[in-house]
This record gives sequence, C-alpha cells and structure tokens, in this order.
Amino acid sequence: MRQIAIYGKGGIGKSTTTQNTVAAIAEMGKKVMIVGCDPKADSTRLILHSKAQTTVMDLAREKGTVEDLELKDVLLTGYSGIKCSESGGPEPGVGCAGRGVITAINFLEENGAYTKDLDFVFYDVLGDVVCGGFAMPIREGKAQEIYIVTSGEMMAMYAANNIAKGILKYAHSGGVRLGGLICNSRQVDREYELIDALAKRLGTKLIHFIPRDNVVQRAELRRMTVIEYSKEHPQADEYRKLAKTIVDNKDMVVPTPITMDELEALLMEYGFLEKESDMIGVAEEAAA
Amino acid sequence: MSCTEIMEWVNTKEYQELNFKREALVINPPKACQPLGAIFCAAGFEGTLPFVHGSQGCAAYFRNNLSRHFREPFSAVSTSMTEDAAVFGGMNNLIEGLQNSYSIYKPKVIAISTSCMAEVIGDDLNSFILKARELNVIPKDIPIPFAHTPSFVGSHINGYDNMLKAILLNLTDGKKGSKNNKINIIPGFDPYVANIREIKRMLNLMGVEYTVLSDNSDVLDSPQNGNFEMYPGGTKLEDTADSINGIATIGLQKFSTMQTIKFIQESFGHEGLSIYPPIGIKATDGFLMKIKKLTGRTIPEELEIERGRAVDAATDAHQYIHGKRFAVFGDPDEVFGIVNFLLEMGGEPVHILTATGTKQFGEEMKVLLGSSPYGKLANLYTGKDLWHLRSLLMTEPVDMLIGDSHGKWAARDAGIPLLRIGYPIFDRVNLHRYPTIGYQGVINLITWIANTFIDEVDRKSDDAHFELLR
Amino acid sequence: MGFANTAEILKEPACKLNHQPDRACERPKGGESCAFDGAFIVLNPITDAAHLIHGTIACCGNSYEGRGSLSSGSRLYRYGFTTDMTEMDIVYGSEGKLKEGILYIAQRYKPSAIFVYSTCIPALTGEDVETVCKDACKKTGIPVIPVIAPGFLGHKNLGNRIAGEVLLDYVIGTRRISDFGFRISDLKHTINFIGEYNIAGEIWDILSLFEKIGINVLSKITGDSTFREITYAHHAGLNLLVCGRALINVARGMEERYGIPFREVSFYGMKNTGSALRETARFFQDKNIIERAEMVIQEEEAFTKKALSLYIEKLKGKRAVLYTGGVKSWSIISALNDLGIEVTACGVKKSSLSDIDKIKSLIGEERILKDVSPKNILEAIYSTNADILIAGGRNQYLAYKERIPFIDINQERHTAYAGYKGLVRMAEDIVKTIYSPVWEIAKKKSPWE
Repeated sequence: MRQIAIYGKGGIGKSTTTQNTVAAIAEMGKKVMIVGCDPKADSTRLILHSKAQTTVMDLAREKGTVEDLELKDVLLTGYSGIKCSESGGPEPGVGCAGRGVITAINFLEENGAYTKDLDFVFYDVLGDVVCGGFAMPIREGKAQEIYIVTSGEMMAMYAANNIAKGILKYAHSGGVRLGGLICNSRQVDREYELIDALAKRLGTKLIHFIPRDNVVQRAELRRMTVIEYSKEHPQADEYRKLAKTIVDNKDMVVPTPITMDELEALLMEYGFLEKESDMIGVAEEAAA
Repeated sequence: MSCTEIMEWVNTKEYQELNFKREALVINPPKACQPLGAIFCAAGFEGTLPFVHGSQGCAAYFRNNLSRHFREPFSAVSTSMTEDAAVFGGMNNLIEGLQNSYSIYKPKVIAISTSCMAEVIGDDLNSFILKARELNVIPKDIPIPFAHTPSFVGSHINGYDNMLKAILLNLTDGKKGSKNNKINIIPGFDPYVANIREIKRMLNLMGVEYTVLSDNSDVLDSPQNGNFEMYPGGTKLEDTADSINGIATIGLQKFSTMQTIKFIQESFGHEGLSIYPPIGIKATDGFLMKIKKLTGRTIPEELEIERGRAVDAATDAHQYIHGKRFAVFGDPDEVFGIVNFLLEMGGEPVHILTATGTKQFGEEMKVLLGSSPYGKLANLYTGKDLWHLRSLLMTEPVDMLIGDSHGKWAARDAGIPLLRIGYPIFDRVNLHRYPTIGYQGVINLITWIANTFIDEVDRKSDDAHFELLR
Repeated sequence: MGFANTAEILKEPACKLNHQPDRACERPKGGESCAFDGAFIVLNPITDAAHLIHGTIACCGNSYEGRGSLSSGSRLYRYGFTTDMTEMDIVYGSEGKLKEGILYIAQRYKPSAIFVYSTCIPALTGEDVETVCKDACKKTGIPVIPVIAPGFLGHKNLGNRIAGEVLLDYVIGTRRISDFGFRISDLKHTINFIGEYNIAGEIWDILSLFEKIGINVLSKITGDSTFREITYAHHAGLNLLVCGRALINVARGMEERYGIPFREVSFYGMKNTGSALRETARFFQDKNIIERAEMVIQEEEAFTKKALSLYIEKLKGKRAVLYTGGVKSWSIISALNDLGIEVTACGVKKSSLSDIDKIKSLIGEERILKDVSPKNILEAIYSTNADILIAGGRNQYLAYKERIPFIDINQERHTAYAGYKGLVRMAEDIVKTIYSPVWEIAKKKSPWE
C-alpha cells in the first residue's frame, strides 16, 4: 500500500486534482482510498456525486463520542470502487481542526479502514501545514510520499516552498519524501518554466503540468471527475498521464527549500517581480 | 430560594431529574486521566522511567496522586512544556527531557506518555524520538516506547492500556523465537498490590510458570530497608521481551486491557483473552479453571482447602450481607467484579455508576445483573459523576456505598457507610496491601463489608440494644 | 488579562520595599507544579464560591477535594466542578458548554460568585473565556470571574500572582461595607489577612488572638472566607501579609489603590507571633490596644511555655532539614528555634530571593540547599546528621524509606501549626515522629542477618 499526501495552497485546485487523478488510478484497476483532511470536506464529492459526505468528526459530534461511530457510516464507496472518507471539523475560528484530523485518522486506523487490498491511500490536506494536526498524514509512517499542487502565482509558490520545509523536518526522522510538484495552470506567463525552475530549486521535478480547461468546471457542476464525465476529453488524458506518472514514480527526494530572497529572485528571473532599480527607473520616468 | 432551601431541594426527586439532564458540567468526577494510568503501568517494568510529555504541573499531580494512594515515593519526569512549546511544538523539550532523564536517573527504559497539550498541538513523538537518537543524546540501545494518552479521551484505564500496548510493541519487537512455557498475566489498572501477589501465589501453588506484565507490586510496596530505590522491582525486561513466546495471555480486567489484548491476538500468535476480575468465589473458580485449561495443570489441594475456607467465611457471614442494598461506583472492571461478588452473596446492587464505560460494558453488565435474582433492582449509570450518585443515594437510599475515597461526602450526606474499594484511597492506610481477588479476596471483602455493617449497628444502638454478640 | 502580562506580574515593584532589586521576587527556577495549581490554591478557599475548572479531566480529576483549606461555613468550594472537555469539545470548541455549565451552577447552587479557571487546552485552542464569563455574569447577576491561568504559562508562584491580580481586578473594592448594613464606625481597628489559607484550620487560632486584643479582622484573603468579605476588604486599616511571596501583589495593589499599608508577618513560632501581634497593635496607636496585646502575648507565652514543657527537653538540640513549599522557610526556622531545634539545611527552590536572604541571616549561607532533588535532600540529612525532615508531602515517603522522621509542612498537612497553640502541636508532632519506636525496629537488621 502506497500512502500519498497531497498538499498545496488553499484554492489551488488540490481536491479537484486529487479526485481526478485518483479516478484515473482507479480506472487502471487499482484500489484506492481518499481521506479528506480538511474541515471543508470537499475532497470526495466528485467521487461520491454528493454535495458533501458525512464526516467522521461531524458524526462523532452528533453521537457524542468517536467510540460510538461505525466505520460504514463514514467510509463510503464511490466511482470505480474508490473508498471515501472525510475527517471534517469545526467552522473556521473555533475549536481545533488539527486535532480533528488526528482523531479521524486514528479512528479510521483503529476500525480497519486500511484494508490490505488497498493499493493507494490519498490524503487531501488543508491549505498549508498550519499546525501539528495537519501534519498527521505524514507522521508516524503514514504517508511516505508527498506531492505539492502549485501554480505560477506567487502565493502558491510561497506555500509550496513552506510545505517543502515541513517535509524536510519530517524527512529527517520519519522518512517522508517529496515525489514532485504538480502545476495546476492558472495561465500565468511562462508558468511551466517558472514551476520547472522552482521544482529544480527544491531538488525535485515538475511531474505534470495540467492545462486549464473549462471541462473541469463543467464536470464539477455535475459533481463528477472529468474521467467520469467526459472520458474521451483530452483533459481526462492529462489526468491519466499524471496518474501514470505517480504510479510509476520512483524518484523520491528530501526537498531543499529555498529562502524568501531566493524565491523572490526566482520570480524576478521569470519577470514577475520588477527589479527595484527598474521600479525606481519607472518612477523617475513618470516624474519627468 | 435561600441556600438552606437549595440544600434541601437538591435531595429531592425533582432535582434528581434535572441533575440527570445536566450535560455541560461534571461535578465531582470519579475518574482520573490517561497519563496517570500510563505512568502507573510504566512503573511496573524493570528500570523503567515514566516520562510525561506535556505541560508542567500534570506530572506533579499524577505523582502526588499515586504517592498518596500507595504511601510510597513515585518517580516520574515531565517535559514541562511552556507557552513556547505550545506554539512551536515540543520537540526540543522532549529531546532535552530525554537527555536529562537519562543522565540523572539512568533508566533502562524510558516510557513516554502524553498529557493533553502535546496531543492538541499534535506532537509527533516517533519523529522526535528518532531525532533524539540521531543527535546521540541517549544511548542507542535504550528502548523508548511511547503512547499517545490524551486526557480528553477515556480515563486512566485507557492510559494504562495504551502504555502497556506500547511497551509490549517495543520490547517484543523481533523477539519471536522458540516457545516458552509461560502464561502472561495482565493485571490491568489494579490499585491493589496484593492482588498481583495473590495471583502469583495461586499460580505458584499450581506450578504454573508465568510473567506478570506490568508487575508494579514491588515498586509500589517496597520493603523498608533504609534505602530509597528509584527502581525497586518490576517485570524483568527479558521476560517482557519473551512474553511474545508464551503459551497464552490473560487480562484480569477486561476494559482496561482492550487494546493490549487486541494487539496480542494480532501479533503474539497465541491465545489472548481477558476475563472479568476474579473477585468472588465463582469468578476465582473461573480463573483457575481457565489456567488449568491453558496449562494442563491441576488445581492443588491447598487451593481446594483455601476455597473451602472462603466458602466457610461466606456462610458464616451471609446474614450480614444478604438482602442489603448497595451503591457501587468506580472503574468499570472493578465495579463489575464487586457487583459479581455482591450478587453471589445475595447483596443487592441498586445503583451502579461509572464515569466512563463503553456500550459493551453496559451490555455485559446487563447480562450479569440478569443472571441473578439479586440484580433485579439494579440500575446502571455510565458517564456519570458523584453528584449524580448523591441524588440517587438521597432519593433511593441504600445501606452501603462502595467506591473510592471521593465518595465520602455523598456517603456522609446520605448517612451511610462508605466501604473503600478502588482508586484512589487517600484516607485509609494499608488497604492496597490486602487482596480483593482470589479466595483470600473473598474473605477480605466479606470481613470488610460485614464488619462495617456490624460497626454501624453498634454505633447506632441505644443502650437497650447494645449487645456483645452480633 | 492575557498572557502578555506574565512578565509584568513577575516583576514585583513592592520587592523594593524589601530593599531588593526589581526582579527580587522572581523565583530562581521553575517549580514542578503549574500556574493553574497556583491560582487554584489561592482562590479555592473562598468557600461560598463555585470553582469551575474549564479543561480536560486532568486538571480537576487528579486534584479536587485534595486541599487542606478548611471552612467554617459553606462546603461549595470543595466541589470539583469541571467542563471535562472531551475530544469533541476540543475539535468543535466548547464555549457553549462552558456557558451552559456556568448557568447550571448559578441556577442550582446560587453561589456568591463563580470562578472560572481556563487551563492549558482552552487557552491553546483560543477559547474566549473572558467573554463567556462576562455574558454569564450579565445573565445571572452573579459575579463570574475568569482566571486565565493555563499550566503552560509557568510555575505555581506565577499562578498565585495571577490569582492575586484577579482578586484586585474583580473582587476587592467591588462592594461597600454599607451595602451590607454595617456602619463605618464598626470598622475601628480593622485588618485583613492576605495569603493565609486556613490550612488545617490555622486561621481560627490566629483569629482568636486578635479578638482578645480587640482588633477586628475584616477580610481573610482567602482562608475560610466568603466572597462578600473580600469585596469590601478595601475598608480595612491595615493588611497583614502572611505568606509574602505569593500574594505580595495584592498587598501592594491595595496600598496603591486604597492607601492601605501592609506589614509582612508570620504566625509560626512564639517569637514571630508575638511580634506580629505587637506590630499590628502598635500600628493603630491606641494605648488600650497596645496594652491588651502585651497582655495577650504574656498570657499566651506563659501558657505555651507550660504546654511545651512536655516536649522541650526531648526537642532540645535536635537537628532538622527543612524544605517548605508555600509557607516561608524563615518563619518555620524561627518556630523551630523556639523549640530548640537547629535547622542544618534549608531547601530554597521555592523561596524568593528576599526570603533566601532572610534564611541566610538565620542559618548561614552554607546551609542553603539550592538543589532539592531527592538525592540532595537525603545527602543533606545524612551529612548534617539531621534528626528529621520537615517538608511537603511529596518527600514524605522518600523520608520514610530512608528511616527518617518526617512532618508535613505544606498545604496537605492535617495539623494547624500557626500561633501559640499551633507551636505546641508542631512540637507534639515532631516528638511523635522522632521518638516513634518504629524507627528502632526499622533501623535494626533482621536478627538472623
């Protein structure tokens, strides 16, 4: 069983990418489970065709304790036999969502969700690694591989670098490795080159560049992955390529995160940040 | 309502109903937290230093608590996490803690449990320990089992269970070899050191070889020889490692050994089972028969005679107990054992209350109560506290309350005696040195219960009814 | 009050009064017990208030009903109220549960006030305990007072001071004595006790002394107190600071806010008690009171000397190692000297720097014990040939294992040692342990060895 965690800045398209990729892997005849580690609980809806599945924590809250939960209530099967579970958790601003992730994964483990026949477990993790709870999927020998979803936008890259730092911390002791970056295109200029360069700096590879295509949104509106909604569409093939790359990927590294200055230099190199001297020049021109 | 009126009102049925609707608040909880159980368990292994990763203060409470019950020094260390650690994680505290603990206390094993703060921030013990090893702050070969024991889940009995599982997982790893002839005994969270001794004595009489897993009887009841010893006993580490090669494992409590027994069933490759505590004649019979079956040993005449004496004690004193009404509270296993014993003697448990207690416990208790005509009156309350118990004692009076020292106020208000059984007992001496299990335990329980009733009669008698014979 | 004030609280300006630099009150090193524990110890003796611990079972379950503070009235303070936070409460937040809990207590128990202690976990998950308290207070009309003292903030001493700040900010001066039908003229020669917790009923022995002299004790902060008496503590003429280190901020605060001067006193031992009574009497500059104080001192000393005669011969020349927690070591040293006992070593881990200076002046620098690990305490006992260890309960069974007589001097003790009668009890307890015949058996080898 390979356990894989997908991290990336919030809103980058992590959940969509994960579900499409998982659907493609399942299509290859593999047994997969997705564990959503985000209180928003939108990591499985494209597989289950539902608005949102009942989460472990929400149901536990209803019953009063985790002990009274039944696995079958929180582990559902969706498209192509994919097992789906969501940790759930509080609304923003109250409680402790990180602890919710810990509790939920412990529950799944103790109650036999990790069956021997599974080939892959995917963890779709909230935005940044904001506290110890969200590092749960990469702790204590759970996920051994991580992929970071990013785009050519500065904040997404900043987040990717931060996540690399988190991996570095756990790589020393826990053995977790970075499998590569996935670029979910925002159609930024020279995006491919930029993320490719970032990947090299982080000591890894850009394993796939997913072009932007409206079919993804159309499929989502129907609560489906592209793989299911429009099998023949070229975008579906993109996800299949990504899936195959992940399945075949043997290139796992300890990342080499860069400093803020280095990141800015990289952005400048690709023309995103104006050099300070240029800026002054512009200002001077304007003043003249 | 004035204060006096309130104090009267809380004794009414009307109040009881409101009291049982109370959800947001616990008043006088009859439970402690997981790490207390964890360090109690860890202390039962040779040279093992209980180590609590969490805020400062927690470990001080646990030590104090255990020390008062056993009236013995209790050693445990803490990483004393501060606000810094709360924000940035407790890795440095843990590494420094391991380093200091080793250099000052020279343990053979360091057993880590957590208090709630470390659990909420999600400290990764495994990677911290690996890091500490990488930094060479502790010798390579010193085992460091660790258990997550958040205070906000379950109680001390779960902490015991989680720690024991962690220790066995660590110490038996890779030790699978040729079978030994031993049976493993897990006492569970048992606050009576004499119970472990009693079990060993019975097994010795049967000629059975055994390993008690977490044997803290010598640690928490060490002889006065003029020297304070940090590690005065405990299960030998080699025996612990070899426990994986035993013929079977028996837990003498069910609910405080669930995880451990499950782990043993999965990875020891021998029979792992748990029984209800051998409290009472029948339960002791059952335990001995089980041992007989597992080992092929016969029950020796000495035990036969002992059993006879216990039965004799029961017949001599049955009139003091038969038909009396009892309220029992405490940890699920102990409560189960005591209720079982009362039914055997014709005592009628009326209120049975536990702070924890799973669905399974409730169902099994129902079966037990249903098995005896004396169980008809009984109501079981799980997840309740001593303020609930007080209501029950006021509205449906009983003759005796059985439980730990915290019950003394409710008993006093109800005007009934409290028979102290369980944990913690802070206000009586030496009780933990008397077994409650086995045939000897039967004699002790009958002695305590019957004599307490007789003391009550003496105390309450007027001159006309004050007699020599009772 | 947020966490930011921690450093402020530790820097105690009143220490200047002891001719110490600014940080003099800061304890040299962290202790074992936590800030929550420290805050709870100070406030819990307010007997008719409810004390609600907002946290996991750890904070309440391991500690409730375990303190030695006694009450002559309400029993409510002993109840272990807790929100018993579970996993669900942590993940989803438990402000609602807390509020409901407070309302339940307010309705069912009608307490004089509710103190709500915020412990590690709610502090960590950022629960707004202060707002919950404020709302509940509005709703119930009962003072609901937040005590933000999570254990991870620091040691017990810090918690003591946090509790002191709470008393100043939320309790003292919130009511006037006239609200309760007393006249100002009733307030002649009034004092407050600060930092006396009525361990084993000590305050009762002291109260009777002041009563005899004609000095009125207005408020006891906080041993055997009612919430009400503390609200009008600001009417008193003088504060007696009984356990200086812990609540010096309350004494100083009351001096600043209400102009009430304070005196540091101790009631351990004949000498200390005498000078405490004398100093208090002189403060009021009333000849009558001063005369009566001298009379009481004379009478009591005569009585005490007589009562001590049973023990004094047995105690003369005995040697003790001392390690106290709450009570001031120097005051116990003085009490022991009254009994003819010499202190051969004194642990100072829990003493403030100004206390340490006092101890030095009494027993000499070389007898100061900075490292109070079990090993070091034992070594001090053996190397100084001491006859007894006088310390907190934590060291009790350590001492017994080493066949060392012991008495408990901390908050869990069961005997009142303050005042004149207390000194006699202390003498009796020391004699009982030192002269117990069990040591003879314990020290002899088995006959067959």
